[in-house]
Amino acid sequence: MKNRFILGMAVAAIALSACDDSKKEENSSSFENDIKAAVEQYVPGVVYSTYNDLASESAQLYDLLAAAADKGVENLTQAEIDAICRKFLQARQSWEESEAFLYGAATDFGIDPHIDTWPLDVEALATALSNTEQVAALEGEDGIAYASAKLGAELLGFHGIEFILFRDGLNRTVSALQGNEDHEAFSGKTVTGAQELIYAAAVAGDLRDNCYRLSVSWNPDAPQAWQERCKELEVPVTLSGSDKTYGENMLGAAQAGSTYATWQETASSILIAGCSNICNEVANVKMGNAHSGEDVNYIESPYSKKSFQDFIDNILSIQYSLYGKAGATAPESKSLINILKNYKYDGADALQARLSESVNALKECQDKGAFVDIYRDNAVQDAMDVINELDEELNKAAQWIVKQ
Amino acid sequence: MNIKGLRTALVLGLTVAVGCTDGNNGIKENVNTREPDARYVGQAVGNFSAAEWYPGGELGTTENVTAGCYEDETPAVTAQGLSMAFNLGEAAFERKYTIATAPFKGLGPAYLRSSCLDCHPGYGHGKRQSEYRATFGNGYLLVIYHPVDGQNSDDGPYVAEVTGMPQTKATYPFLPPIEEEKIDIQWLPVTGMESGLPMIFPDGEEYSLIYPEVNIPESAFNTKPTPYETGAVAFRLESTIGIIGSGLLDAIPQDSIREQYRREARFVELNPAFWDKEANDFAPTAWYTLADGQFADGTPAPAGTKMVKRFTYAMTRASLQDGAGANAIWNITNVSRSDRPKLYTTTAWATAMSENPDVIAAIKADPTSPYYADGSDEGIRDAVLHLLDPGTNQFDNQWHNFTADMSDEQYYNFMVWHRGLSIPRARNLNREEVQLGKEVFNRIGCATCHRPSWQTTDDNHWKPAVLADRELPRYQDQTIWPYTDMIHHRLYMKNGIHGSWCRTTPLWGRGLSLTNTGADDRLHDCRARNVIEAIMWHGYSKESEAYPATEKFYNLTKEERDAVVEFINSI
Repeated sequence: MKNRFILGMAVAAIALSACDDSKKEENSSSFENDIKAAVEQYVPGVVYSTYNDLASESAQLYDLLAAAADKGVENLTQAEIDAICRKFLQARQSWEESEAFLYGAATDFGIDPHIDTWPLDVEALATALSNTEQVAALEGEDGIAYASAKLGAELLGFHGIEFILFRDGLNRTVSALQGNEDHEAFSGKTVTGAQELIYAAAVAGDLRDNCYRLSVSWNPDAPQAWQERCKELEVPVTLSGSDKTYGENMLGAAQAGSTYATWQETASSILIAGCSNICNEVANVKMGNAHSGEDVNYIESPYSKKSFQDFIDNILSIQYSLYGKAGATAPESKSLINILKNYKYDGADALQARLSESVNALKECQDKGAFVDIYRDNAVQDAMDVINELDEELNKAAQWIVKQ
Repeated sequence: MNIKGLRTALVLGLTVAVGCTDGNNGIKENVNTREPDARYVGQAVGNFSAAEWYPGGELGTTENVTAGCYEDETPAVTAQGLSMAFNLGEAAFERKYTIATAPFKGLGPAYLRSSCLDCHPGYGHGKRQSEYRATFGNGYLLVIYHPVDGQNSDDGPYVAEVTGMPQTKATYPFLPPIEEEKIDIQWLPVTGMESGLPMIFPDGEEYSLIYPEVNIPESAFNTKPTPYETGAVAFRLESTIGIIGSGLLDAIPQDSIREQYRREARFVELNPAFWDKEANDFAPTAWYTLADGQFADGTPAPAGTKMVKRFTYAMTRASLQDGAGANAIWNITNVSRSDRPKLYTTTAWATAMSENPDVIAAIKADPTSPYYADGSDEGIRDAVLHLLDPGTNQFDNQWHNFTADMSDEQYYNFMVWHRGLSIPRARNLNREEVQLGKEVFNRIGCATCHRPSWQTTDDNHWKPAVLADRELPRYQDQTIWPYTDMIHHRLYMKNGIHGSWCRTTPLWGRGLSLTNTGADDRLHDCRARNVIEAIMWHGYSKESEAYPATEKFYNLTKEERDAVVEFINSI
């Protein structure tokens, strides 16, 4: 359910609090400067940093998969496959930790649906990989471009690679990859592990390119090589009609040319368009569609069985956004949560409490099993409930910020 | 990708920071000098009524005006307890359809896109494209027709060899009806307005216009015959139309629309296919014949029930529940459902595929194929010819009986979502520029066609039999502000819209397109890169029904022009 603030209450609050004295103006000025400082911490500390990790890890994943495909499946060791799986999960974690800021480049350029849509079209994959010409194209010099342009998003992104690397929650085995694919969708078709690795490498290359683009589209100082790659691909990396990156646009809030008219609006966008968005998505869509809709088919990551980890990383993405730094377990001095505390917002503790409770509730679910196995469990409903409460606290905090 | 509604208090609160200031103080060093609208939301300001802050009415407006607000459910959805269905329906809109992987399966055999989101990026209009690829952001439908003048007229019947919304994708082993790599789109500059209006405003500010020219060679068509074999061929582009607030438009009473026709018919020649001037009533062809269904109040609506057409640019559909979205979830993907048992294809494509040796060979090599028949070339040819034909019931035929790809429950969820998309609240109505814009918008005649408001009554909407006993979002007794008269008009643009007539496009919420989609292209083929260009295209020809208003706009001061733009971006 999407809550909505009652208009009358807001008007009353303004009537009581606004324009009472000159101190208010001084406080507002200080408050805005503090938000500005927190945003200046958030953009590089959370967004640039997370996308930097994601781009680096996806590049490493591509290198590993390309090397494995070159080496030949008959020469691969289990240790090498396990290393690739670990790198996949690392990149996957960075992506999930970026989902509290899907607004901007990830949405505008369609990168989110390009690299993270589901379900994987397994039947189409079976057809593609049993087509020798198509596999040859994926293996060729322009294999990444071919994958990007020809496969379609239903065969691209994390979930395509996940299918090749994982099955039933476990890393694929060397022996499985050295044989033929035995998934039921491949019945009657002969697809080898070698062909699967060629596909996975090409898709990982496309994933890498899109992650480069995320980084470059936000951070004007992203590594030169990534910027060059984006130029080579001829993809836009700035806001439409502007030469500003999404990071520059946000850091230029309250100035001409920025789409953020005020610093309060910037903070509210981080909290609403960013954090609240993923909160609702986790509770009511990623979990809710399977749990409340009672349909296992709505589970996003069935092959690696890492859904709960994805959800935890999503909530941590909110934590990092509030705390001002990727990976933070405590707030940075210049952070949105500290602003709430320093300016005596009486809901700050509740917000932090719901945040940690959400992570804990998801960990309890995780301890019970994979989402695909326990999606009907009451613990799932409990987690959904507390995440919805976190959502409410995020919205209340945003309301409070713009009233100051 | 749901985003919760931004609470009114968020923006109301902004008032404190700026509303308390009186000019040059420290605060304004760090905040925009534009006074936020927060303190005025829900109040009458200047020439705006309090209700105008809520273009979708109380039941149809979201308070959210940040990125993602186009995705919000209406308060009616929440109040009716339909949020779960809305979320499931949203997934059906956002996710990729697959050949056979649940929950979104049944893609093909020929299709336009594998996801609704591709054509409706960020839930908005499509984005202008310089090449045609069936991917994210490209909301274009190709329009392929036989021009009545044999050359490049906007008018003429659709070719029969490809579907009305032509497909450029197919699942293996079939070939797409059109090979998209061969489609050529050129954007050409207007060097002079046919109307004679200079391309520079009297105060010296210039504007420029571009328009598309599309060509598809005969070799791109995998049909037999090709459209070139049945006549001269012309091409146009039509981008996706806005989807937010569609349920509210469905709630506008038919009698109110009739009164609008009567009002306008006194001053302008309306489309005779819709309005019988002599009878002063709807023309017979304005009515759409519905399938068996039921009205929202439970009254039966037996097959043959008629409603006046109001949806799509060409106004080809009457009810949202049998409108563009209800059909698109079937024919864009070719995903069947119990009330859509036939394919969206053409006999010409089926014929070409049945005679393609590579297709036959591929099927022959796969005995599990539904087109395998007895395994002989002739048997396969016969199965392909009939199973791909648009006249064959996919669930009941002699060759292979498929089952419905989309369940009735999924379709219901989708329609809850579709009818439940809200309109974001208006912005900046407190600003003098916006108030001036409204005054000028009305004064120069824009509001004649872009009718500001409508009143809904009981919203006794029609539903198909498959949804008959299911509750959909309902918008009773709402004042809404879509800025459309729901009537066809003609603009006579260069390489204009197919059929010449186009329903006045609703303007509500369009000012948030950049925020939601990252693009702000306007008009039916995204030719306008900003609001000024969109307006000036209304005056490209003196024949345009909007020429008088556009001429007046051309002669406004820059302050007034900018005010009109601000107004349009605020509603």
